[in-house]
Amino acid sequence: MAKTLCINMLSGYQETDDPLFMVNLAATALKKGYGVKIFLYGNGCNMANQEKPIEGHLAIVERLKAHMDIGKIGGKLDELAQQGAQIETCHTTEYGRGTEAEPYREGVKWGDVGQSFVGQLMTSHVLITLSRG
Amino acid sequence: MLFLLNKTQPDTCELIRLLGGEEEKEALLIEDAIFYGTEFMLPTLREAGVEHVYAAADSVQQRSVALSPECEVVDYDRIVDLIMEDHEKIVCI
Repeated sequence: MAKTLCINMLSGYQETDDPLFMVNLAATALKKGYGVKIFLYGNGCNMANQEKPIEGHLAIVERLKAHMDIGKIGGKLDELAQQGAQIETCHTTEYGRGTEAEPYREGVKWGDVGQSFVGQLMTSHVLITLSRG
Repeated sequence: MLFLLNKTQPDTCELIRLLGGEEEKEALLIEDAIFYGTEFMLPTLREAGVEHVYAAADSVQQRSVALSPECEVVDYDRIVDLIMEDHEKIVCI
């Protein structure tokens, strides 16, 4: 049986490179035949939801917008899920950020620490945690 | 034991000493932690008992940092091997 990598993702996609590292690592692990499980926790939960258009006045200039958009890795999460990655998020940290019950990206599932994350840990061989704490 | 470092912080080396104990230690530097791989910073990892240092190629390229020749620059293929096969324990700091 191929080993499984579990990634506990605590960083958001705008403040660090952690999500970029996560998707590159996960994609390579999948390509090499490993299983991949991702738990979006803390600020990481902000990657779980479908993007929605910003309403009202948008003050950001195009050049800065392009820079900010580099960190948006939601599409990569969709690809990882299509390739077999199991991706779950923490509804409690979503609640704390006012995003609980918003539609998830394709491939991302509702989750919690007690059941979902523990389940990932119990069925993985290697755990890495990416955070800024 | 492989220490996965993604940032610089004042207590990194102390944590490596404490958590690594007497085990053989290696470090994989990603993102801003690649600064530990410069000539100036590498001795701090050595003092903490780290015997071999790897640095993620994309992180190095993005920051245009000159690393010590003692650092081994690795791609994601090698990083997966380091994490999944080459070490029994991975510690993320």
